[in-house]
Amino acid sequence: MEHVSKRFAGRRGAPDVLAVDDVSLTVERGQTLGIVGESGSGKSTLARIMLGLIEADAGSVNLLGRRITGATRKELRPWRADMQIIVQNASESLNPRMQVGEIVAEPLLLHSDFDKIGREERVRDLLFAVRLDADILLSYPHQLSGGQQQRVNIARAIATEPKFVLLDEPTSSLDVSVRGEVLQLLVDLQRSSQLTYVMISHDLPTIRHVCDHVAVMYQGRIVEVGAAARVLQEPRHAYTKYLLSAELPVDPRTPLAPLPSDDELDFSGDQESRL
Amino acid sequence: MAENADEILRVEDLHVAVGQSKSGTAGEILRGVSLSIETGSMTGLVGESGSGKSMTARAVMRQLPSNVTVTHGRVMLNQRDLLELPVDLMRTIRGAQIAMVFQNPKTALHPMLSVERQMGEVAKSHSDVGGSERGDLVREYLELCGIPDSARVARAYPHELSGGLAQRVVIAMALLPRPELLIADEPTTSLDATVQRQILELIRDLQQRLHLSVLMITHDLGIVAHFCDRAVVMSRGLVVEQGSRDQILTEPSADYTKRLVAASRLETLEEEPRQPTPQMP
Amino acid sequence: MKSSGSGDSHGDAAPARGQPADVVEAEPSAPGRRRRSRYRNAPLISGLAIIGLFVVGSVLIPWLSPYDAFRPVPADALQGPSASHYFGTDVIGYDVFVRVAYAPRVNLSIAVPGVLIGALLGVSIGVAAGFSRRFAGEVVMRVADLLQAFPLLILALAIVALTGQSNLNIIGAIAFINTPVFLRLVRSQVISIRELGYVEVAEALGNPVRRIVYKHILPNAMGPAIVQFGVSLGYAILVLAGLSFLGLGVAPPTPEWGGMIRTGASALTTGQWWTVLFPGLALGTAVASFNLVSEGIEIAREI
Repeated sequence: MEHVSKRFAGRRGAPDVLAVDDVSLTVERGQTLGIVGESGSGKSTLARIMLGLIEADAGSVNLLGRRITGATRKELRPWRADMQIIVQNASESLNPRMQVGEIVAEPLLLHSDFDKIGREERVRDLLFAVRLDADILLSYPHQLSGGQQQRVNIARAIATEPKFVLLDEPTSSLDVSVRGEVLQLLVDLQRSSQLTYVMISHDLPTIRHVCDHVAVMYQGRIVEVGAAARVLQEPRHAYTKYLLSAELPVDPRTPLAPLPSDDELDFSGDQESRL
Repeated sequence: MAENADEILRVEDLHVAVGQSKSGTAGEILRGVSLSIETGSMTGLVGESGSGKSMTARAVMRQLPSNVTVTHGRVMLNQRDLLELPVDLMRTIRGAQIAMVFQNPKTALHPMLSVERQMGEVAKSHSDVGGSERGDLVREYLELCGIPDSARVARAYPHELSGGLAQRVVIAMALLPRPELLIADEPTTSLDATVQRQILELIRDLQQRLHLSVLMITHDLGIVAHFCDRAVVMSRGLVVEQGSRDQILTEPSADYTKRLVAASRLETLEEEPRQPTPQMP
Repeated sequence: MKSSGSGDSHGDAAPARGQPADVVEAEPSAPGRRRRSRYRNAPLISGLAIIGLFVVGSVLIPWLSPYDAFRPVPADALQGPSASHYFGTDVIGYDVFVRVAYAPRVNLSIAVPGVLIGALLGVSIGVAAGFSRRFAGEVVMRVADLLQAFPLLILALAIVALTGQSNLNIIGAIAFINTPVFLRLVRSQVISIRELGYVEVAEALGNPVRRIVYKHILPNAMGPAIVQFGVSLGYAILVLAGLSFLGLGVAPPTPEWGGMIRTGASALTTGQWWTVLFPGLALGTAVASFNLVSEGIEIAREI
């Protein structure tokens, strides 16, 4: 991505919002880039621009050798087999009137040459890959637990063997005990299929365990970017430090970093954007 | 457990069921919950979705949905069984002795009334403070909750406030009648991490200053680790374990607790934290 | 936080245990999924039963009654209800019962196509208006507002008066007044659905717009429209009756409840109440039964 910007018109008297402000990022194949930021940082918008779901006002996005920005919907459609998304709200991303089997088969219907039997077989394989029982094929989303729903989302996302997957807070809506399993699944899938991930998260332990590199966003700009281990251990930008200080590790013995005082809270100006 | 005069709240074998039938355990949401909260402490009530933690709080406040009933058990507030009380008396206790703060501050505030007005109403029904003094009282509590610009916030309307600010207002409003026990149900879940930390520190600060007892309902063990003295772990309508924070987090005895703690730390992930590839800085 | 429920009705007596608790909710709870088996869906069953009765009755009546709905016997005019004429006869000599029973054929053959066309039009425009984010959506809404500002019966009257009194025109009028209703309903559903996760994912998967609408948006938006269909049918029957009563609906001698009330009204002053009561009762019952069915559908959909 190079110099991507996006402005949203403000509603009825509110000023325009510059959701994404001159963002440039690179991700290598097979790697995982984490994007951290609070609400309003623009990370969701950035993610959707990456996949061509939202048009950027300025800048360019090149994904898998294709120019995403400026492409028409029609041009994008066949490319979508290679780039998928998994969103935060697991249950909302499943059509309540479709059965699991149908849901997972949809991308195959759209992009592959499989006939009905072929699709069914592939769906079974996919469910197996995400460690779900084949007997949920006929179930409806509301009959499944949160973890199961998210796995269905994952199965659907990998159905067409994409090379790039965007994960928008994939485990935030799940129970704590299930998060580890789902993350493990995502990591395993990446390794076995050489996937490239961009993961948006606000959960620092997740980023620490899963991401190679991380970019920190604040008010539409990337304020710091670098290897995950380094950024989380030795943050350079004030905002990154601020985010880290708010983390609550599950160990009462680890002391909490002190919260910065109010005058340290102005982060505009500082910019670190080398990878 | 013997009754302890230092317990402000004690729940004994609470059974809560949904639906009409009182017989049979099908439809039971709480299957015999027993817990105690020491006066002046911050106790975390931890559990995943469906564990019954919110329902327990509602049962204590006697604010259960219409098709849900208490079928057995006692809820002792300062050695008085709340479930035995007539409705009118319970109404005075609610607010004046037990206050509750919820997850979404915006829905807890009346959207059409200014902060001053809403808090004034609360002040009016719980104290004899007169007109102009009420305004002072409101501002006093707003400042107590870390809002230095109290006059401006008092005049504002809920939709004009940020999430963190709105939650502070909700807390201030809850504390106006000077309750002894504050129940906070996931008060920071909908807030950003940095704001969350501020609100939690505020609650702890208030707890110590006002000698308040706090029941903090949460699914986040990180909050328990750094802000609670004691913890009660619930799963599927039962209390699995309770004890001091250190005990629960570092030496849990129940299997469920062990798994929960491990999962929270993502210890179940096989990977080591990623090492950067050589050519990256 | 006000109290309600059984605790209150006893003043200060009732303790909490074993009784429905004393307050409804402090916070809105998630929508409950209550299982209601079909067998207990009284509104649906009773509504369908009554409609069924009307329909079957109107089909079988030529064999059940010796009298002809279209051929009056003037000599027998204005007789009260009796064993031979269950509902009596009217001023021209028709047997009221036969005509009351026959009327649903007429009603439904006009109401059903009318509402159906209106619904189809309304739903298609509604989906288009809801899905598009452009200004056109707003324009459509204002036009719909304009149309709905008129009392529907008056609007139907105006249309029929302008286009001439024929069954086809009445169907058209009914379709016309129903379109804005369905349009509005479906559009608001579509607007909320299009923001949902699975619609975004559907696009991300590479669905062409057409398929997104048919497979993902429509099925989930139809709910209120289906319920509305039942209500609209009932209302269409009422409108038709109203038109006939005013002389602009179905032309006599075709039996229709509204028309029967019109001809019977003059007899009312001379005390022959049966010419008006029975058609009126039939009308009321029919409309009510459609409302019952709608309610039943609504209940069934909560599952």
